Amino acid sequence: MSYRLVCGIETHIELATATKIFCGCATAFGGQPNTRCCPVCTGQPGSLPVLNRRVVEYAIRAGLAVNCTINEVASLDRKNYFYPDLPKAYQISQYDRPICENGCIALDGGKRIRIKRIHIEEDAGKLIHIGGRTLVDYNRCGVPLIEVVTEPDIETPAQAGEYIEKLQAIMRAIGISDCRMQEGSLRCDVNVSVGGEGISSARTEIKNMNSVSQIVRAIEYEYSRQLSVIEGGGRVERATLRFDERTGSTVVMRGKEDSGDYRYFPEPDLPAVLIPRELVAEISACLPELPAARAERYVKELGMDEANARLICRYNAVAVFAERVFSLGADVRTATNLIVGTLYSLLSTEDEREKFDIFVTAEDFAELAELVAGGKIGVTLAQMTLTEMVSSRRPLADFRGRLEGMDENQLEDLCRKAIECNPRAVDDFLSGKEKALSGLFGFIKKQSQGRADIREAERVLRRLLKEKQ
Amino acid sequence: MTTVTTLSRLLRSGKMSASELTEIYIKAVEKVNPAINAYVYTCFDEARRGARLADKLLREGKGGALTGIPFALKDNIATEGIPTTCCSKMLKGHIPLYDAFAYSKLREQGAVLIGKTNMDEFAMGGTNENSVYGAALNPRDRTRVAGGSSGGSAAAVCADIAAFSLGSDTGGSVRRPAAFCGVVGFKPTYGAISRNGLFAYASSLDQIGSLSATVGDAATVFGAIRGKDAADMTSCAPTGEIDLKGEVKGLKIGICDEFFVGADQKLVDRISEILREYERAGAQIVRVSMPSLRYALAAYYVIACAEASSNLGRYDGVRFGYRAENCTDAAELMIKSRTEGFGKEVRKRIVFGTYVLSAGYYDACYKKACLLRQRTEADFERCFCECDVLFSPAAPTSALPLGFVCGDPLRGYRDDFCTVPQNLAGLPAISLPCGEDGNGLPYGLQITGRKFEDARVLNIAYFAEKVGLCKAKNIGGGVGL
Amino acid sequence: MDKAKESLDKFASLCMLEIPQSEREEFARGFDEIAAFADMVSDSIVGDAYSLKVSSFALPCEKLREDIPARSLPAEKLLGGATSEDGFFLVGRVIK
Repeated sequence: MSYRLVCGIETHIELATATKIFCGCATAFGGQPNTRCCPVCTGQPGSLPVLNRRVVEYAIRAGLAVNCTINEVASLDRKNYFYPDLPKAYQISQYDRPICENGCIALDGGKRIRIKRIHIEEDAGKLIHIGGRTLVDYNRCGVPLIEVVTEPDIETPAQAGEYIEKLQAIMRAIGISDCRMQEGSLRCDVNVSVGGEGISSARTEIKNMNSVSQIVRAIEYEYSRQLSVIEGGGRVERATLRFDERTGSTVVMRGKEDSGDYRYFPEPDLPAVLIPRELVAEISACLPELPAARAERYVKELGMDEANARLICRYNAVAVFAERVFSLGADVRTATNLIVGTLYSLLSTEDEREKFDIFVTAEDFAELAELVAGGKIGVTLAQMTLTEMVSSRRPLADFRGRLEGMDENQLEDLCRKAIECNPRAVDDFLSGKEKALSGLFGFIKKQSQGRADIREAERVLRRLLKEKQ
Repeated sequence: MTTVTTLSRLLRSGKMSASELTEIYIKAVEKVNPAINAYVYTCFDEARRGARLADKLLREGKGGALTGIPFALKDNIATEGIPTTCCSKMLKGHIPLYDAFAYSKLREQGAVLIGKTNMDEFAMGGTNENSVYGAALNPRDRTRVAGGSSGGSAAAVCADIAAFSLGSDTGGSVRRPAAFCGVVGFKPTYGAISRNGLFAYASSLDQIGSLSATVGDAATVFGAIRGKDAADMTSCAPTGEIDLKGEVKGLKIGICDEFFVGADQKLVDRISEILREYERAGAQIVRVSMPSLRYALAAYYVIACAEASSNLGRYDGVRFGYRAENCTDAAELMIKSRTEGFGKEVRKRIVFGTYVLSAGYYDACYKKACLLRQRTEADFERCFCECDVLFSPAAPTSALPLGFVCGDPLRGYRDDFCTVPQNLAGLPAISLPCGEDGNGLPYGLQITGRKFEDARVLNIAYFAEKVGLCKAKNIGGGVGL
Repeated sequence: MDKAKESLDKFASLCMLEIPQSEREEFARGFDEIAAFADMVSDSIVGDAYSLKVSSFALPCEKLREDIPARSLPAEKLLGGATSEDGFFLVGRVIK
């Protein structure tokens, strides 16, 4: 009996519009509770929703970016349920006729995750549970969301992680959201079930995870939990779960009985939205280059290595910086290695790479890369300089002195000193161990603070050592 | 009867100030209202303030047709700072945070709000007996109902203690009380008047309408409050100039037998007499048929209750309105607040609405009701290929006695069959006083027009008024100007 | 169409209402009366093969609201008619 993971993801993304989806309240983050509200977003009697045009346009943009068809007519529906964070006791969402359908995101290696639909809806308020009571803040109520729903195409937890990261990169690239999971502008609900020949097992839904790694671990745990239930002869029960970070396991939030009857029906207060093909074409034409296409271009036109291309194109700010650097004439290979090697080790988190707040100008970076490519300075020196520029937030100008190479005499003196101070390495080399030279290189690097050109040094060392023989 | 036209002339000629006029109305309300319970809330200080502002406008020569005119609003239309309760325990003392669009238009023009009027709780009813403040009584016979759900609005105009009033009409709630009280009740095309600020009962059926003594006044009020409102996406820009001439030559009047089922013979006879006058003036009578009418009532109740169950979900004790005490958790708070705050009829309709929308029943109930609605629209369209307007009863009988429908709620529902089709199709319809029964109680004639042909409907109704066929009778005891 | 008493409770709880013991008989009767309309609707059209015409109430994207901020209500006004604490609306424990 061969089992496999069957997994689909529903992602809610907060759109970076100026106002909420159905009223003119600002969507800005934070602020005192209930200060960004009006009769509409708090469901006061007699209030009516007024649809924000930019929300529809952003949804169209999102759909086009993941290859969806954009429907000619989209309409809104009411999803009815009771909860203190939902003022009208219904959420205006889309059921029958969403804005986008039938798209896909390609993972590295070619696997395609199909996107079933993308629709718009309004966010609910925030609840704070303290002691035996709950406080409600409606500032977030009415913030526009798109919900991106995949088919259950995801086959491994790693694919789930990659899908989410690619989705984030695309949505950021098109400028509709900052997609920050920690801040809640991107939330994922994951559906997991076990598939296989002749298997039809219930699926569970996992909610409230804060990071991609939590999602991956949650899927791993839940799949193996379901497997053991099935292999033990039992049946998997439908449920809504949350992931417990501490124990690394999934925990039941709601049983299957509580799966709501939402009594969807068409929203009578809002018209259907007609989406003319000209508008779609207009939005399509204005789409920026997406990460996948950009990476492909880097590979084809700039001869960049595929893995590096993906690494750079994943973060819009990085790609923009890189292209500026290239446009200033820097050698692509060198510059790329400096970014992916040095800069990425300094900016180790997703967030830091997204922000790309490094104080280094493209001009300075390009110059540094050119110095290396042109053989004027060694790669090590460049790396060390770059690191210091970033951590001390100083421009290249402050380091010019150090970047001046060593002249021939200085280098010769240093090489002689290296030979003098490292007799063991010299003996080893002279008895045939080529690798022993690296000890001398290390000495030279350190002594010159990276200024010495190692290739030149090697030439000089070999000459001197030959003389010794 | 006192009319807006008369009063406006009085004020603009300087013969009386708006403040003086308002005092007259205040005294009349104090004297007459206790016996009929038309007003459930009066705002006399606010009214005096409004009258002073109106006087300023009049002095500056900026007075319009409604400047200084005292009026009443149904208690489901939002008035900032003034309680709006839908005559329900659920909203007792509720103070809205903003003005309804229609109200703000009236304020702009200097009309003077005297108070809020009685209604069936959350507009659910046809007799105004489902009110937490007690029934609104018919000023012409206080053993009878004023009609519903805008009973208070109709009674106030009928008793001459409001120059005009606004009500709301979801299945006949302006036209029916107008018929019972013998005044003019106009329900415009759906969307003609912004619903912003109207506490919703059934969103796709609700429409604000007017109660007045004459068609002329209805036209004046309509002209003042109609228009596209950015805050209501279902509202539309005005369609057609309002120019009352009462020209009916070449007019084709449709008569549909299905609308006359169960109607008093006296009413039918009176309508026939009126039709003959129209014919004499050059109109033509055409017989038409609307087979879908058989199901219109059922479709109406399914749709109205479905939407209501959703619209009334927001009343949960958390942000406004009645809040139950001693609740340990949020769910209990909501359940208790709603169960204690809503009256029986409201609760019944909410549960019914929930039922028709729930999984397993949606297709058979709600979806089919929507289809029946489309058939009703199609039937009207077909009729309007052969005629320009339809004449029919606004109610099959005169005003019902108090307590009558309590013993027979289905009877209460069934009477709506005359008026719900116009809500289903979103058509303009007006109710005019049309003869009396053996006890001197008025009947109502309903004129229904094509969608967006509000001006035309008003014109055709105006003819009847102009030639004295449909005149609201003054019962005395009110303002009397 | 099953309108047995248990179903009534199910529908009532879906809309956060309780039918008090003292009212059950009356409520069930009243519900049956109005529910007759649902039966009528259901019986009016036979079979499943019917399609709902798409409503003509539609607006092109350009006619929707522009994304320009408007003033929000001051919190005190909003909280006026409710039970609150430190600027938040207050409810009892929420069972998630």
